[in-house]
Formats: sequence, structure tokens, C-alpha cells
Amino acid sequence: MESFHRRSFIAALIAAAALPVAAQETTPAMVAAAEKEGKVVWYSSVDVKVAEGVAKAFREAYPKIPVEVERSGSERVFQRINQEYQSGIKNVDVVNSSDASHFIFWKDQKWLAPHTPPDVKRFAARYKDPDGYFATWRATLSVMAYNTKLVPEADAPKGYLDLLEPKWKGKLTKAHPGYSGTALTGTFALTKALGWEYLEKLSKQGVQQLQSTTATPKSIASGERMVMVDGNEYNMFIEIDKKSPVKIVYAKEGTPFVGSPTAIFAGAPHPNAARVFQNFLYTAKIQQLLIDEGGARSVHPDVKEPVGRTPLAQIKVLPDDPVAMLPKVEEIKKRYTALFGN
Amino acid sequence: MVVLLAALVLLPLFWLTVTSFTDNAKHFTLEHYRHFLDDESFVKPFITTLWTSAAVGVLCVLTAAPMGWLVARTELPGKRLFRVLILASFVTPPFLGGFAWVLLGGPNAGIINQWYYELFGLKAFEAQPLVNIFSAWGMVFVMALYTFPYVFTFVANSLDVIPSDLEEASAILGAPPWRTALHITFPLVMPALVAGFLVAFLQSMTLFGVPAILALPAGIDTMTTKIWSLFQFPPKLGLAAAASVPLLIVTVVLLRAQAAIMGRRGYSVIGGKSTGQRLARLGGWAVPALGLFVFVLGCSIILPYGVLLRTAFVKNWSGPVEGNLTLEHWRFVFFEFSQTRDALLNTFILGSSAATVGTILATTIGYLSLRKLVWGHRYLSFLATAPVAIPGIVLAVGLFLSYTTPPLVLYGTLWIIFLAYVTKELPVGYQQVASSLRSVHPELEDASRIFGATRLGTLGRITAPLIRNGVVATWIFIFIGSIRELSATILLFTARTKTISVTMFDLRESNDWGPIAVLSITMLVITFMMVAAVTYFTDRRLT
Amino acid sequence: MAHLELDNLSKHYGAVRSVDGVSLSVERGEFICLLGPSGCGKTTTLRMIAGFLEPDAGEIRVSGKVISSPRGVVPPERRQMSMIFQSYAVWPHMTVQQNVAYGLRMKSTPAAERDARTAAMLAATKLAAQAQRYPSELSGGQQQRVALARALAPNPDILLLDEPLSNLDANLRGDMRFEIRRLHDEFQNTSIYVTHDQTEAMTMADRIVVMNAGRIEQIGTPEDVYDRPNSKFVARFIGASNVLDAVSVSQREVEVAGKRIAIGLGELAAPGTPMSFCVKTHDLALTASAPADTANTLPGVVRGQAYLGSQRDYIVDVGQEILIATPPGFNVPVGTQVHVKFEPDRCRGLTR
Repeated sequence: MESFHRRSFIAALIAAAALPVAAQETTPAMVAAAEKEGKVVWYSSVDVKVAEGVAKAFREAYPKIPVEVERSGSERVFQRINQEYQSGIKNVDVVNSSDASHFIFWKDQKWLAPHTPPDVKRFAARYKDPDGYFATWRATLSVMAYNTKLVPEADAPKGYLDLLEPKWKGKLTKAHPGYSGTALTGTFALTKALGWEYLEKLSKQGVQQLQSTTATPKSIASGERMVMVDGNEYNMFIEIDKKSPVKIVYAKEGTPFVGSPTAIFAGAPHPNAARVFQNFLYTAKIQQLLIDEGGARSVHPDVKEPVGRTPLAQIKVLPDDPVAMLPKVEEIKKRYTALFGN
Repeated sequence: MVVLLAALVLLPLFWLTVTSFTDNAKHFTLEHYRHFLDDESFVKPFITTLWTSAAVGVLCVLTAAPMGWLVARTELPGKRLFRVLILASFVTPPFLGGFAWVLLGGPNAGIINQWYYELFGLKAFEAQPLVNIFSAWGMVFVMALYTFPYVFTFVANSLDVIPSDLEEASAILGAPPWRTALHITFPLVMPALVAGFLVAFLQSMTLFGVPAILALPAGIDTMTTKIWSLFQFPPKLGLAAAASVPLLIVTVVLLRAQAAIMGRRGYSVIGGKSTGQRLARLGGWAVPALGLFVFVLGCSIILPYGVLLRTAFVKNWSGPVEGNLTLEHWRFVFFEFSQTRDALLNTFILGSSAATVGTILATTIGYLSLRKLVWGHRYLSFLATAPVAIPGIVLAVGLFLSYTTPPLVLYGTLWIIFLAYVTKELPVGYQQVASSLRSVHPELEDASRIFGATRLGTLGRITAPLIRNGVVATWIFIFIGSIRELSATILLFTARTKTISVTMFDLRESNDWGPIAVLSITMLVITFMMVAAVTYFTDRRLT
Repeated sequence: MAHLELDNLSKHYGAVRSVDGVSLSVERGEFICLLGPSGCGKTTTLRMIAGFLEPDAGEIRVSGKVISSPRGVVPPERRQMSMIFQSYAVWPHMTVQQNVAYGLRMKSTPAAERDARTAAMLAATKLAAQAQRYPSELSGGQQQRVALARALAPNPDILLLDEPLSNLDANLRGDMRFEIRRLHDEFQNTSIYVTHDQTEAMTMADRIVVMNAGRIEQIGTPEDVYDRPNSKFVARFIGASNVLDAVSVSQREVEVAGKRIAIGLGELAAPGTPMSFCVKTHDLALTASAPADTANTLPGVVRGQAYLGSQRDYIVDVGQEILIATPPGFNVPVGTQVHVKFEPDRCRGLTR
């Protein structure tokens, strides 16, 4: 362990010295250094198959830099990294989480390394950190949805308030903000729009409590529940592509927008590989892959939305607000757990 | 030796106790315990844990005791097959059963409920499901399915050594069969029933996987899931430690109670040679008896294994099989999923190193303490069996507290998980080796020394070959126990030190049932290969 | 009418005829020993009488009523019998008193009578002081007496004993033999006692039933089977007998090693037929010099001798090795030429 740390520390120093601060493009020297580092470790909250798809594309582009994917829910990713850093373990290179407030926390802790991939320069300002520590890698909407075999279209709920009708008792599924960043961001947006009274009433509807917003779409696709209160839009697209009997509902009250940034850790054991990988993540090719295979929304100017999906512009969106959310995270989790259980 | 063992076993308990009485400023406090007692969200899981564990114990006794009697004492057909299947339930990790039962007993999409709805022309959501596995009773049911083999084994073994004479003596004195059962057989197997109940209780109390899979989605917490959630960042270590202590106390109290019950009256069967067992005819009762076995083993083995196999090969697990077949999950797990290789490797490294070190440790301790070769040999056997009283998750809390602060920082490495496995499995290993050693009469060793062999030479030439079966079995027990471990690993793993069990647990967070099924089958195959290995490596001359 | 009758009783295990056509008639109050080596079928016979096994053929009757036949058996608990097991089968979770009172409880005997009878049995078996002990706190002999008291307490019609003394050491065994017989004489139960020990059978039984390979070899009083064995097996098993191979030459004589020996007892086979005769070891006379009358005498060589205090045993080769008991003072070394005298009225001809 000891020698391992020392070596990676020295490697980081060399890398920092060798790279002029402005040169953040992928250079052959950077790739060579990255190959010497041997791999890149990526903690991500994206669906495990999408994550492995990205890793596969990276492996094809840089065969000598394997990607180690550690997938978990955003809140779990956050907890793991914090626990590791507290115990002096530096394992993570690049992180992706759907809870944007995490990045503000890490930035405050001075754990992140500033790095702006070339593509990010062209992103709208609201999708990137002014100091260059992180940028929205992908976005998803926390959508409602239902199983079309079990619910006729006429009966389907149109918005969140419809879910309080007695007929939905025992038929709903929802992800947990204590686990999922998307659920946290979405639940926070709901409390802003509808208040905690709404969640109190919802909690009396016998809601199946799953952990991840990647799990709820699978629950209605299998028919385990009829209606999903929140879930990743991209998982819904995946299910629809698989011809699962499900349909998305963009609630009339508005659909929470969930930006999901990535960043590089200052203590990354593979700093060059991290930069090569981070640059790769924001290329139009990967952004398009996120849309086509991952069902995500992208803020990259060059990507094309596939036909059949409702364009972002036509959806009433509840924007995310990580800065306002950060101080309230513990309160949201606690009140939510009191209502819905762990 | 004594000091090393004491450090291994007592250090985690020491830090656990200290932390539970220490506040952030490192001052003595009772705050954590007050919090525990005041807060509904702690008291409720504790009560849930107690009643569900008791329910599992009762359920196990009610089903496994008749099963034990049927196999040991009646002419039930297919007994050998039943014994094999019960062994299979014994080695099936309970959390795999939990996974399988989500797929079988989910209230609306679960396969059993689908059959039920179809059979009666009902519609999901409108009718009550036949089973709702996401409930406290669902959890009790699944835990009972994988703990009943303890009770079964205790009862069957105790009936095996109770000579039929004792029952025949009652019959010839005029007692009809039911009175013989009531006055003679039942009191004689009572200690086995009590022991079985307590073991089932303790097993259920310390399980993490099944409650996390089945009770958490229903908003029900047990102590293990509660301790786990306290461990999430920012970890509330003082509270976690204070929450662990009641589990420790309950375990110690129950184990003492068991010793007290077993220790009164001379329950061991006495007298000389007996005529062996007389098997009862079942006649028409064979049908309900077989029904019991089919139901229990169907629920613990046939249906779960079946649904895991099915799920591993279909695209949408709740859909029909036709047109749904795929090898995608296998390809994903073994060729795309970057964690598989590392997790398999970690699991193997941990399993084989814990098994090897644990076996060496157990054998050394067993030899030294049984042959009274070192100072403090009595403490040795005490320390080697003490971890029995430490639930896995409590041990993990203790280890975490001991090895995340200098001088020895092991958190984040495989070492801390390795320590957990060795400590946890030591009692089983020690008991196994000690019973083999006890069966080697010291005169066999004395005979070797009188013919000129040294103690060490005797150990190599005489003792080692004689206890070989026990040692091989110990290694494989510890290996199997380690590769399925979840409740301690869940607190101790980091991204680089994942095992198969926590990988599966992570996959469950996102409902990736296909890959879970693939990994489950992989784990079962490895386990059964190991069980077969025990049989293969057993020296028949010594059995 | 006989109390207990076995009529052509058979029990097979696969091809093995464990009990093969056994018939026996036992009078009320009689003490019968089933004697034979292990595997002779005696325990199987006893367990059929108890009702633990059902016969493949034949019948068991008590007072004329059929209780066992291939068509069905009365279960053990309804036979009014008691049994003492080889392992004692004393229940370890009950006190001595509870063990002894068990049979009375099963018969719903009123409490007062039950207590009195239990106390009497405990007194009769000298266990009163141990009444409240658990069996694990008792010695082997005491456990044996508990088994005895327990079996006798309900005053059974028939008492079955399955090698009850085989787990005791030699001293206790002697005491218990007389104890069991004393209690039998006191309570007059019909008793069937299984043993492989001829001393037990000789000292206790009214009649001995010698069994071999599932069949009855001989039934008779101890004197009958000891003095008048009717087969080679009985002669050998009851002990102290030499069994010699011979060929019959006439109604009164056989030929052994080329010499004629007159036989005074038993039956002889038709002349020219191989047969046997038996003679007790102490009924043979051994001399070092040739006697004047060499009739009924065989020459031999001493192969071994053993001094036993009250007698001296010799192994002598007369063509077949025979055992001879002599007075302790008669002492000749191994290898000596000797002469063995057969008294005709001590030699018993055996045709089977």
C-alpha cells in the first residue's frame, strides 16, 4: 500500500509538472503517460450497461488504458469516495454523479482538479463550473411512466397530483433520495413545486421503495408495479427500445431536470489517464452514444436527438439547483426516510 | 499464540465497546445508548429483529423437527435424495435465496404470483397476490428456508444416537406410539430442538442480505440493515457501535442459555450397545410426509434454482421464455462487466487464504490446547470459540474501528476482509479439527513415540494422516463460508476490494436481475464443486 | 394349556433364514433360556415375541390367542409384556422413580397403588436410596436394577430379557443372576431369557432352548442339555466336551484311528457310516504307561498342558486333538507318549 501511494503521488507530481495548465487537449505525450499509468478508475452512477458501453468505446480508442468501472447510486458513490478519502484511500480518478451538489462539496474540500475538456468550451455557461472543475456530462429527466399493459392510456396519470388518487394505492414505485442522486434532485424539485405535504400524502399510497432511479423503470417494465413516480428517462428509452410495455409521462406540473457532471480528482492515482478519459467522455461521439444507446439528454451542441423522442424544448422542465440543494440534502433524506422508510 | 489470538478476537470488541462510550471529543458518554433507546428508528428495528428471528426459529422447529424424525426414524422413500437436497439448502447462501424469491414472490410480477393470477383468471394489482415477499413475513419465510437445515441436522443427528431401545422399552410397557413420542422421544430430542431453535434465531438475527433485499423495499429495518445505514457517509461510528452491542449481548445470553439447558440432567444417552434403529412404517401418512419435503425443498431449492437459471437466460425476467432467450447476461458478466474479473479474483484470494490460514490456525490451536502443550491452553480454546458469539456485522464494525486508525491501517485492503473471515470462521474450524483430534486416542501417538518417533515426527506420521479428513473438511468449510460472506464484507469493502457477494448486492440496487442470476449460478457451481471436493478428498479408511 | 406357544415361527432377511421353523411351548411361570451363539436367531425370536418384528411364517399364541402371525401382529404396547434390554434402555431424562413408575402410569394405575408398587419394586431391587437420581448418576449395576424394577413393576404376564447381563463385569454378573432368579421366584412371571452364556442359562433356567442357525437344536432342563446333548453342536456349545469323529462298526462300537471304542450312551449310526461321539474332558483317564487292559484305549502324544490349580488340562493328539482334565498332581512334559482311556458309559454317540 505504502509504496503504491508514494508511486502514484510522484507520478501525479511529474504529470503536473509536465503539463502546462492551459494544454488540456489530449496529446500523444499525455496518452503515453496515461498508458504508463496502466488504467483509469471511473466511479459513475450511470446505468451499469451504459457505463460498460462507454468503457468499451474507450478501450477501442485507447486499447492500452483499461477502464475500471465502479457503478453505484450517486449518493453511494459520494459516500464511498468520502469514506475512502477519510481513510486515506485514493482510488478514484474520474467521477460521475447525478447529484450536482456533490461536486460543489468536493470542490469546497479542494479534492477536485480543474480541467476543461476541449468540447466543454463550447457548452452553454450554465452547464459548467465557472472555475473549470466540472461540467454536465449527461443529463436526464426524472420522469413519470406507466405500464401500458396494466394501465389503459385513458386512465394514465397526467401529473404528480393524480398519483394521490386512491386507485393508485399499492401500484406505485419510487426511487430513494437517500440512495439516488436523480431521486434526490427530483424530490427536491417536487418539494419546491408541491411542498412536503405532497410527499406526506404520497407516502400513504403504499409506494414500493426501490433504491435507484435505474431500478424503477425495470419494476414497471416487469409489471411489478404499474406506475413509476420517478425514474431515469434514459432507462425508459432503453426499455422502450426493448419493446417493454411502458410509456413516459411528462407531468403537467413539470419534469425535474437532472444534470450529471463529471470531474477529475486532484488525488487521482492515474492523473494522465484521467484527463485522457475525461476529454473522451465529452466528445461528440460519446455524447451521441449516451443519447443513442444510453437514452440520455446531452448539452453538447453537435448531437442529434433521435426521432420519436420528445425534444427537450417541448417539455416543461423543473431545473435543478445544486447550490440551493446542498445545505438541505441531509434534511431531505431524513424527512423522506421518516415518511417512506429506508 | 495466546496473545496473537487475543489480539485477533478481542481487539475489535475492545474498540467497539470504547467507541460506543465515546463522543466526538473523545470523552466518556452514554449519549449513544440514550439515543438508541429514545429513538423510535432504533427501537423498532431491534424489536423487528427479535420477533422475526424468533419466528424463524419457531418455523424451523415446526418444519424441520418432523423432517428430521421422518428421515431418521421412518421408512420414508427417497430419504437419501432429501438429505442431499437439505445439504444443498444448507450451502446455498441465504441472500441468493433472497434474490430468487424476489423473482418468485414479487407481489405482481413474481413468477409464482403470475401463475396464481393466470390459474384463477385474476388480474395483478386487483387481486391480493398469493405471496408478497416484500414484507416481514416474506423475510421470515426466506430466512427459514435456509436456516431450517440446522434444526434438521440437530434433530436427525440426535435421533440417530438415541437407540430405538428407549422407545421400545416404552412400547412394551404399554405406551401407545403417541405416548411414547410424548414421554420419551420428544424429551430426548428436546435439547436438539432448543439448540436448533437458538441457532436458527442467531442466524436470522445476524443475516444482512435477506432483510436488505426483502424487508428494506417494504420500509422495514432490522438491526443489521440499520447498522449498515449508520455506516454510510458520514458514518456515525459511535451509534453504530452502540447499536452493535445489543446484538452481541443477545447472542451471548442465548448461547449461555443453551449451555445451561444442555448442561442439566445427563442428557447424553447411556448404557451399552444398542440394537440400532427401528424404522416406523408410514402407510398412508407417507403422502403428507412427502408433501412436507416437496414443499420445503421446492421452496428452498427447486423453485429458486429454477428461477435463477431462467433469469440468466432470458431478456426480460418476468416475460415468457419463448422468443425471450438470450446469452446476453453471460456475455455481459464475463466479457464486459469490468468488475467480474476483479471480484472473482478477490473472492478466490480471500476464500483460499482465509481457508488456509484459518485451517492452520485451527489445527495448531486444536493440537496445542487438546494436548495441553502450552501455557494458557484453556484460554486458547476459549478464544478460538469466542467469535461464535460475535455476529458478522458486529465483527465488521469492530474491525473497522480497529484498523482504520494508525498504527495499523488495513481499511481499503483485502487484509481487513481477510481478518474478518478468519475470525468469523475460526470457531467452526476449531470445532471441526478439535473433534477430529479428540477421536485420535492419545495412545496412538504414545505408541509411535515408544517406537522412537519424536513428537514432531509423530505429528507428521500418525496424527496428521488420522485427522486429514477433518482438516480437509475444515479448509473447504471455511472456503465456502468465506466466498458467500456478505454481512461483514458489506461494511469493509471498498471499490478495489469487492467480492462477488457485494458485487451482486450492488447490481441489485439497479434491479439488474440477469447479471445477478449469472453470478448466482457461478457462485453455486463453485460451492457445489467444493462440496464434491470434500467427498473426493475424504480418506474412506478413516470414516 | 401352555401359556406361550411358538408355532413353526420363521423370519427371513433376504436369503438369510434368521429364524427357521421354531416351535416351543412355555408353561405359566416357567423360566426359559434361549441359548446360542450370536446370529443363531435367539434375539430375533425374542423380538417377535415382543411384537417388534412380525413373523414371515408361523404363529405366536398367548393363552391360546394368536398375537403374531404373517396376517398381523398385536402391537407391543397391548401385549401385557415387559422387556429388559441389553442396553438397559433406561430413560436418561427421567429419575429412577419415574422410570420404574412408567409402566404403571401407562396402565392408568391409581396414584396411591402406583406409588406403593413403585416403592415396593425399588425396595426389592435395593434402589430406594437412589429413587430421585437420574440414570447418568448411577453405576452400571444400578442401571441394570432400574431396568429390572421397571420391567417387573407392572407385574407383566410375560417378562422378556435380552442378554441383560452382557454389559456388566464378571462379579456383578454373578450377583445379578441370582437376583433375577430370586425375583422370578418371588413374582412368578413367565420369563424368556436370551443369552449366549451357558453359565447364565444353566444357573437360571427351568428349561434351556439351544438354538443354532435359526433352528432349535435341543430343548431340555439344564441337566438334559449338559448330560445328554443330542447333537455335535450342543455337545460342543455346552462345553467341557470332546467331540470325536468316528465310523460306526456295530450297534455298540465305533472305530477311531484304527481302534475300536465301545460307546455306552446315545445312538449309533448304521454300521460303516461316519458319525461322532462326545465325552467330557474329566471323564477321560490319562496314563503315562500303557495300561494292562488296552481295550477302549487310544495312544497319543502330549501337545500341551496347562496348570489350573484344581486340575491340569492336557491337549493330547490321538489322531484328533482332544482336551483332558486330570488331577493337578499328574504332570508329564510335552511330547510324552500317553494313553487315553474311554469309559463306555461316559461316551455318547451322536448322529447329527
